[in-house]
Amino acid sequence: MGGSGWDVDVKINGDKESLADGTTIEDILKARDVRPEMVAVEVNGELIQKGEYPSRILIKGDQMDFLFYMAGGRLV
Amino acid sequence: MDETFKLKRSQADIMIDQALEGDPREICGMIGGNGAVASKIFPTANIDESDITYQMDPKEQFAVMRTLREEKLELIGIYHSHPETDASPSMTDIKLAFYPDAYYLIISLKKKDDPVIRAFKIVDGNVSETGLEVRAD
Ligand SMILES: [Zn+2]
Repeated sequence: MGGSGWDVDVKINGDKESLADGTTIEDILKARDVRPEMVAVEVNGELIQKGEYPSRILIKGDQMDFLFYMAGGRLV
Repeated sequence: MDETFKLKRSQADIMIDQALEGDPREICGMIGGNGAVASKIFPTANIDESDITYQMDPKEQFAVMRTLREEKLELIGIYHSHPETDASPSMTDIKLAFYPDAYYLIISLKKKDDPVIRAFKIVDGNVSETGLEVRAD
């Protein structure tokens, strides 16, 4: 148990993942080529403010969900 | 070639009724199913409350996504209405289309007594109409 550096077990969009210690929301989005301004993020059902993405570290058991905004319009 | 999007008459009517009730505001929603076949329509609020734009509440999006996961369905479609214009995606619709796997359905109320629904795939700014098959229930 422990010592591998990759033992932070979390769920991301429902899928199990093991993260390195200290992985932030921003790291996870970057690794998926997702621009933060395009997505909303929840951790354990709580909506996270964009400003917290670089500092919010996921811990064991966290469930992070992110989704792209759905929007459109006839802007002039 | 993308598969033709398939939904039932009653599902199309849910979207059309929502569009007519929301008129002159744009309305929006999500469609769950598998592949190109719809199984459930999820009307959502347009937090823009606008005649010319729509935006879903992320809270509501998360809730629908959770339901889809529980019911082993995928997000296969995203729809919104055009109260005054044709059922084709606007420049902004295209720019904000972040779901390359989903079908984008647009309900036009240009003719109020004859609503039109069309389906598109929007991938990296490229729009292709997929066709839409409305089946009897
Ligand atoms: Zn539109």
